[in-house]
Amino acid sequence: MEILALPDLFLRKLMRTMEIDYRMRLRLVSRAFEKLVADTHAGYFADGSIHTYLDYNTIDESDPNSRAAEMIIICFGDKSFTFVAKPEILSQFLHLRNRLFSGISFGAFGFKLIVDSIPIDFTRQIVKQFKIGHLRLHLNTETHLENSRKLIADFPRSTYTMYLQQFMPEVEQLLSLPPMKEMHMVVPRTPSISAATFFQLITAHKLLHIYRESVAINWQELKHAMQMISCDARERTARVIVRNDSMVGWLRSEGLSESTEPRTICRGFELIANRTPQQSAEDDHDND
Amino acid sequence: RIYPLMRVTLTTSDGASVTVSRQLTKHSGFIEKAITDMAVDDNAVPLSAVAVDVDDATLKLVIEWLTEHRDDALPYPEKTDEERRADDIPAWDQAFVQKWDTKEDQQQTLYAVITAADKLDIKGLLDMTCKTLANKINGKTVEEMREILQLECDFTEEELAEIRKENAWCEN
Repeated sequence: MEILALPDLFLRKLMRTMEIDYRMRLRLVSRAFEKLVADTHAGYFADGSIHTYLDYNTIDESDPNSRAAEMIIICFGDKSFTFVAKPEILSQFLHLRNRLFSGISFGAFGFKLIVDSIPIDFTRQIVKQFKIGHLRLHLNTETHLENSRKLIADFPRSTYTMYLQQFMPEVEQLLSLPPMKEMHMVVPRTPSISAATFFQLITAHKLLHIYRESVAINWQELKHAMQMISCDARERTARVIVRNDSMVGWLRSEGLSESTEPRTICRGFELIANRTPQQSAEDDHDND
Repeated sequence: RIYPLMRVTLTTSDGASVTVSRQLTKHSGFIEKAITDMAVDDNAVPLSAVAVDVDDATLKLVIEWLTEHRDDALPYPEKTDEERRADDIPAWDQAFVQKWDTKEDQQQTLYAVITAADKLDIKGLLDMTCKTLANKINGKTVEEMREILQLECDFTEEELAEIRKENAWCEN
């Protein structure tokens, strides 16, 4: 008996355990194996990614019209594939991909498509046969936002993490995004988010991370936000940095003051210890 | 409900008969279905034997594996979308397969057990043999792969060059 006479179920299972590197070598074993590699699923990989970037090393300084090459790098498993983002090179990659597997699964897959001039359809063609559990989307421009919407539409059953890094969408755009497993808003120097927008964001997304930004919110609205999070059936954790006067206003409204004794319970709060700012500073110093 | 004392008689493709405990055969989807189809009382020994399309020598190996794994949990967990792993073969299973190295044609024994595991629908044994073969192939050169898989290269030099060119392109 020869290996290719083994049950189809077994051969497919075997090919799901092969690393990409060995699939490439198996292509060279025999004609039948070359076909088997092409016709079988590559199995599951915990993580993968596709990035675009400009390669400035390709600039010919003697040529004033020379530009940095637009590059695509795709990583899965133990392999990465880097190529110039041109239609004919993409066709070569797609041909190779079609000879390497019929499908592939990823636990998570990152999209960092920072070169706007590379059409999103390039990426969509590359990941066409992919099954992706979780998409990580990095956004720096409005084009990236539109591209991300297309990718989300291509993977409607996946979960998503969005990183707003250099670009803050308009409120309407922000609120029209689908629910994210994680929404990271880390855009520097942007106007404050309104309380109303903030309420909608914490309701929509499981994890909302606002960094280097602020929310225009008074203590009553902050309290409302905390109540919304507490009432949410999803597992939620809130970590907020609040201006001192906002927090004081909230605590006073709950009946807490400087003279409140430790172990006093006031509505939703239990006072563990009552320290002056000087005592707190000394404690911090001791802990350093 | 499975009655572990119940015995099942298996007749092999080369005419031998082996009687085994239901505690072992419960891991075989094929045998379980055959018993169900007979509609016999689970307390009784089936009057008809279950015919399995496996030779006597291979069935003995399968039964040896089933005996070791008689207490494995059922149903066998499906792992289609989990992390690929071939390095988690239990020590007993590794030793079980290594014993075949002394046989004249170890690869044929492995293939026979794989085929039997598929026919008898024993998912755990199929998984183990799959990982065993994957471990043999992984890390090997193309020539070594051909030797392990007992395959001749049937490409022309031009075809090989073309595939190498494609592979080399994606490594750049």
